[in-house]
Amino acid sequence: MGKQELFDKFLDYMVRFAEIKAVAALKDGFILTLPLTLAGSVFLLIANLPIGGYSDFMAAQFGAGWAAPLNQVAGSTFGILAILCVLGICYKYCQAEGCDAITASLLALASFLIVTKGSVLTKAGEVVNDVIPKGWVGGNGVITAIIVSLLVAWIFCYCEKNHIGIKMPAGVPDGVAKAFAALVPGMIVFAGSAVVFFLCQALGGLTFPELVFQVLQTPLQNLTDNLVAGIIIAGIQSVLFWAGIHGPNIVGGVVGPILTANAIDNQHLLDAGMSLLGNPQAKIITIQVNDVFIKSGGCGITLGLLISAFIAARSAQMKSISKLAFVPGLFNINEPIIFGLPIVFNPYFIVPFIGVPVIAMIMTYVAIAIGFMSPFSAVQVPWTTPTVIAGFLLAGWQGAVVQLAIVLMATVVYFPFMKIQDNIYFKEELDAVEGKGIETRNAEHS
Amino acid sequence: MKKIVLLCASGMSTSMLVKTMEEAAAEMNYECQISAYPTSEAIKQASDADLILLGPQVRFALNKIKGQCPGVLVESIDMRMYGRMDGKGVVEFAKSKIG
Repeated sequence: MGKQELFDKFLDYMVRFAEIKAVAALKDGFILTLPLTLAGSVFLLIANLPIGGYSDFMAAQFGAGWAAPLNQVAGSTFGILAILCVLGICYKYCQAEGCDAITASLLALASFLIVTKGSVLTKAGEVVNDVIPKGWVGGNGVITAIIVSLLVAWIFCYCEKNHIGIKMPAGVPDGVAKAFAALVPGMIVFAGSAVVFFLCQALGGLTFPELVFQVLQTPLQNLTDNLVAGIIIAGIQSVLFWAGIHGPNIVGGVVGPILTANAIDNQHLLDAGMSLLGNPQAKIITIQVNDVFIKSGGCGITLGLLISAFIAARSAQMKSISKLAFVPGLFNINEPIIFGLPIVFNPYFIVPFIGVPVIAMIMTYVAIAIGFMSPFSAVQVPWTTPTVIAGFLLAGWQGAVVQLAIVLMATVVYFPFMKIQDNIYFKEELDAVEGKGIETRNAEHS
Repeated sequence: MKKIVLLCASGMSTSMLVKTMEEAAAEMNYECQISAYPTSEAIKQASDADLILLGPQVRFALNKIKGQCPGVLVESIDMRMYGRMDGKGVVEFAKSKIG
């Protein structure tokens, strides 16, 4: 098999993967949680501004409990991430199937709570019943949420499509008929959830989220939290976008929940009064590394390409496209340069387009690992936040410095490749002008 | 009045194209309503459209969107036109498809 065929097969596989119903629902559903986690981030950020002495200053102004209302917001956004996932993923799955999405989502939420612990243990060892434990409906319950929501969605859609349920005679109002239609799938998923709850209790003395957390989520989180995984995540996104397919959209949908859970883990360390800087317990590869630090100017860190074009481009094509792409590029939107230059399937750009984000990943990893920059808490910024500013908001001046260094690196690495393309365009343009000149001269002669 | 809906990953880059398309359509006296959304909003926003145009970066979702919006013509936008935000070219393409 030739290299070309192998690459085509890889692309075909990735596209098919993205088209799997469950994967699409996971991606679209997880996106629904973004407004909450981003809005929650603002409050978390105000509670933890990365400036020395800030916390003491605020405590002196507003009293020791000044951060409590802010943390209450964080606790009800990040703190219920799994609940948001259950609702969002089940909704998007059923919506795409053309089924009653909101009813299914509510069933999924109830199922999730059925399998989740209904009590907490106080420090004194006392059991408090009748609670929904935030410890399990937040980051720690994310993988359970994905499993439960997809299963419930699948069962619900299967029942609806095969008309398994109580049928009302014609003339019964639609709302009433719908409520009865949900009765049978509701019974099925609740019974299933109750059985799962019972089996986990009876066989392991734990709950389903605890089991999933131990055997699935923790290994997955550890698997993503190392340099090799980081490089693979960065590399695949670039390879896909080089082939004209929205890589972050495909990869992010799958690794997003896990990398977000990594960030929330770090937040738990902070909440427990530990520092993240240089803390070996803290996770390094979190959602912010993927969304912000390896995407200055967009996937491929094309901001470096634009800057190098501003410095040295001679051809009209390179100049005009980099000008057009600059303002969106500041906000990390780079479709104009990717499709307009184009970078897509352009052999000159495959090396920097993949290499630059990989080097950026290594730089970010090292900066955190050696204790220069703090690992990230749950605070996120929108992916459209301009580079350096995003770094500052997430990790203080050290974050800004790392991003600045990444943009510099990107500019240097892109430079020679930009020049090759620029020279080709420049020559084309010269030839075109000369060609036209000859034509007009001929016209004059005749 | 034709309804044209552009879809991409998050509705960001297509919204840039909407602007140049609207300008071009006004110049051509082509009456149409153009909007941009993420592909995940296809059912809600594009089910009643005359034409759905996909950003080239999400063209892999063509069949999925076709299934979600039955009866709506779904096409993907030419890569170069998209990158250079060539609103006129895309409007002409749309016109050739839906008149």
